[in-house]
Amino acid sequence: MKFNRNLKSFLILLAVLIVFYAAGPQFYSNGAFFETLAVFMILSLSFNLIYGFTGYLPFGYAAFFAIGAYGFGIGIIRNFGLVQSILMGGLFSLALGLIFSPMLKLRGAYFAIANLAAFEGVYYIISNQSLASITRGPYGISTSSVYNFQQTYWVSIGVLIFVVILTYLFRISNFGLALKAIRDDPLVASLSGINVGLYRSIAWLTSALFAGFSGAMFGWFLSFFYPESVFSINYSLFAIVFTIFGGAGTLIGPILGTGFLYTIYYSVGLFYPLYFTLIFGVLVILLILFLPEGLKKIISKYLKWEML
Amino acid sequence: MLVTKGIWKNFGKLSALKDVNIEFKEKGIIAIIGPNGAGKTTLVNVITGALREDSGKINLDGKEINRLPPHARIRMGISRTFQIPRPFSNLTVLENIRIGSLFSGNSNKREIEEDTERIMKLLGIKSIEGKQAGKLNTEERRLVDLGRALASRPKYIFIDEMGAGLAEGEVISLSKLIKKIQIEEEMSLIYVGHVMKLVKELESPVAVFSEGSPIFQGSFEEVISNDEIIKLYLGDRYAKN
Repeated sequence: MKFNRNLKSFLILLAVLIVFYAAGPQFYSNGAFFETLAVFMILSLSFNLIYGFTGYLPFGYAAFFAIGAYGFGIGIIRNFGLVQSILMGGLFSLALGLIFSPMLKLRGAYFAIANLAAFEGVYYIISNQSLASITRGPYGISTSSVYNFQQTYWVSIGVLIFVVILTYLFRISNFGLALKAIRDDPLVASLSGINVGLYRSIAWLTSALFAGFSGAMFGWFLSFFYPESVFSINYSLFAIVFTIFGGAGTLIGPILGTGFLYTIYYSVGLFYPLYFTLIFGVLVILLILFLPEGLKKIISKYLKWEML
Repeated sequence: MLVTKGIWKNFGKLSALKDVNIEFKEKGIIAIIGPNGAGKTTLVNVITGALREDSGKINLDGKEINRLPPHARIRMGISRTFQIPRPFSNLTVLENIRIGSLFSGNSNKREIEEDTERIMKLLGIKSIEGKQAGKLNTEERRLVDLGRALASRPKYIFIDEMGAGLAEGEVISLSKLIKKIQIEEEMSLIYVGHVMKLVKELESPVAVFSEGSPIFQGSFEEVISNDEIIKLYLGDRYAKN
């Protein structure tokens, strides 16, 4: 009964997303907006897999996004082919996730800070002049040889749908239940038979993999980028704020959060470029102060519906 | 048979467990009592794997389990509750109990559902199965914590002090519940605590801990007439000799 209701919400959500992304550009012919919106939805949903399901808050999350763009870019300039390069974006990020995984031993603020420091470290490695033969260092990477907006757009939507399905599985499965238990009380979870380290690592690596894909999509769309264009802490903030605003740990939350806040962000940038950071900053402060649990809370309180 | 051999556990200069050798039989109830700080809960922590002992061995049916992580020990049948109950507060009562069964090594879906139902009925918490555990009162939280531990079909279950703060009538019904659980679920039940009234009602053998090791084992009547134990609890002037 409950399962069926979840399945129904999930199918409606999928249909709405597909119609939105297929029909949206017909009404508002700004492809860049819809493409970046899809990219950040993937990023928020990936972030949600680690923050929403395990409670770890990685401030340097943008490192996965950036290394995904770089994995893709390096593949393209080495002529590995388009599909292979996209996969490289994901795999580079997965490898970074593996390297970072000892950090999972840290908790709370210590984890967040270690992750932020690691982000800076990766940035300096990638932008380093002495590695320019591989990464093009500070000169930036061009992927313009494979630029094709329509293709980028539809592959991005494909990845988005894949992450949506994956999050749904996290949400309804015993695996997801175990992650929720771990978030509540890791010791009791482990004394109930849950392999805490293993489960956390799976969530962490899945999250890293898909953040890498979102970065690859972004790099493909940009067609030319410097280290600073992708290694920006703003992308961590995007993922964190969008997810928390919508409702961490749910499927619909990060999608709603990204849709709502990124649209505001984009419009403010378009219409009031001078006050753009100010307005968005104030908005974020207000949200954290008055809506710390996001739309999820409002919906369950006033609509009596536990968001999927 | 669950056996500990020469278990030591130190916290800094304090020895919480000193050379503990104790055996738990496969069926029945045993109560472990002792003053605060005697090492009772530390022993439970070490046996379940929440803490690592400094030295000594733990044997379950002839197999050494010292090096196993906690999640592997529960699959071998060692389960526990907490003195301050710790249900998963963001999960429902049903989910809490289900988790106990789900990750205990049983992969038979139907049995998992049946175990979950049976335990909720046994403990009388079926009516609140949809409630979030974080919103329960202390009594309900205790039962959910116990239910999670029971749902894993344990061979040995350690119940860490459920009787604190209860009125006399409640102590009697709790002791009845504990006896009923032991009979219906057929396991070895180790009750750890210091509420004497409850220990008396259990009518089980008693092991007395003091300063990190078991000093006496016997029936409840033997325990309360033993001079050493009276001194331990009440001071020298209450002892007969």
